Amino acid sequence: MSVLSAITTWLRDALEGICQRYGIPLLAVDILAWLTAAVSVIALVLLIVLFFVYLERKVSGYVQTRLGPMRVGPIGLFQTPMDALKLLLKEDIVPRGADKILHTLGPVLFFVAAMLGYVVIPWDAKATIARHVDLNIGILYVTAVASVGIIGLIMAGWGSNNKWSLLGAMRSAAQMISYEVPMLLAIICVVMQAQSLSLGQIVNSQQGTWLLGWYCWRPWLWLPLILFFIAATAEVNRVPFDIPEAESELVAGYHTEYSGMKFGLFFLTEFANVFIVGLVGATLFFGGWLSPFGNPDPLHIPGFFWLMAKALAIVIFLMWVRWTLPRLRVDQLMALAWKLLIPAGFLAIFIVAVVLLYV
Amino acid sequence: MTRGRQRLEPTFANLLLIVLEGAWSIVVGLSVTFINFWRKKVTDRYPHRDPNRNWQPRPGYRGDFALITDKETGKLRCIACQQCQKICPDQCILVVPEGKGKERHPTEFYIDAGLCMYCWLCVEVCPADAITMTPDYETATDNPRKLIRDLDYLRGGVVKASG
Repeated sequence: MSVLSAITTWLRDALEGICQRYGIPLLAVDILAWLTAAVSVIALVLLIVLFFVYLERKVSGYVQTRLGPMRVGPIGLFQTPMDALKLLLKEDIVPRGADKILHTLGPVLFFVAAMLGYVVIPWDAKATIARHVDLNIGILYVTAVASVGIIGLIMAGWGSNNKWSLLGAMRSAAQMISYEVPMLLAIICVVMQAQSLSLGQIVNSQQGTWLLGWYCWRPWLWLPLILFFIAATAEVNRVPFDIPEAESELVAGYHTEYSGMKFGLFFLTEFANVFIVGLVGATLFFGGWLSPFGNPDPLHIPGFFWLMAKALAIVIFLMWVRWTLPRLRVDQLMALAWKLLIPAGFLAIFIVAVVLLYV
Repeated sequence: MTRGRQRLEPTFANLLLIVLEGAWSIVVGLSVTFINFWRKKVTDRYPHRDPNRNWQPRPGYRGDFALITDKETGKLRCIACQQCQKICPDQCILVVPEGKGKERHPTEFYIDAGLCMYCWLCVEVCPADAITMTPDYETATDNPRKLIRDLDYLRGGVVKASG
């Protein structure tokens, strides 16, 4: 097929040959393959997060008719790697009276929960981390592990022994639990349309002439699309839903007492979550790895590229929204979720059900 | 339900009105940021000078100090009356006078730029119109002692016709 898959097939055959010759069980090759896939996805996420931080600063600068970072490297490209390096070298302070274990475990759990979501993302046809395995409850799994991160936030807020941290953590817990409901309602609409919970199946059912098969072209899925992006923005605590870290009210919310790489882990995870929203949004509504020029792609561009391009476009849109809208008040935020988005979610399910049954 | 300060009847039509208004205002906001995104950027990348830009400060800018040399006589206008030294709120001026009457002139003239708050009082008070501030803004040094301007430094400044 492509050069890449030829190389990987050859590597696998070679390794299996070595294993057979020296009597090593073939499981070793599988473990090696899984490790390689996991490490490469983690590396990809870390790199893309560095790029997103740079992009965010550039977008914010451009929206405010500034230039953004320009000094370090060509057009400021090395700014975020240098910042990451600085964070790695900085002193790690644990405040007096803090619960040391929770304080350390909080950011780790938050980070791990975010990384778990990447396991089921279909990067290309038959290309999740576990090679040919497409988890048959993929989208359920993504939403499930996304909510585990809340525990990390609460651990961080409680363990910091600081009222602002605790308030930020409580707010984020309330917000993330509230907004999970409309997000799930929106996802259920897509699942009804695709007749499957597996992300690979959802993408495959969006095949059609050029890009017309994508779910974003079906009018009865427009309401779920809007709901999904509003709720997902709230899920990842971004402006206009960033009350967990509202700097004018709470210093920095749950990561007030964090410094050095623990703070870096929070920062990284926030952008990793944004990337997940981009990837899942692209998979659910914009055809995932499918090429907009028909399938298979006439130009032989790998599906990985298309997925990344779509996710990047979504992330840029989220940044655009972020630098446009002001933050919501706490009561407005809750009112939006419970009084507006959830009824709208049920309405969306009803519409999709009617359309699927009778049209 | 409220819409701005106005209380509305909690009907479905009013809810829809609020939602649509909110959505429209988001669209307007997004278009504003979109237009600004593509506008020319206002940032001056200071040491990297763009020759097409005017790097002079606006008129009235108070930069480095200078004593004015008279164009006709070729001498400093300063009559060493020490009024600037007396009025200076930061006491950063020191003038050492010499001579009597028309011959009176400064032998030493110190201004500590590190103390000065650029209040313009010395310029206002000067009867001979002899002291001023130039638009030169690049006065940073690595040593506060270098910020003390002496007579030689100040003399190199501005030449003006009398009157």
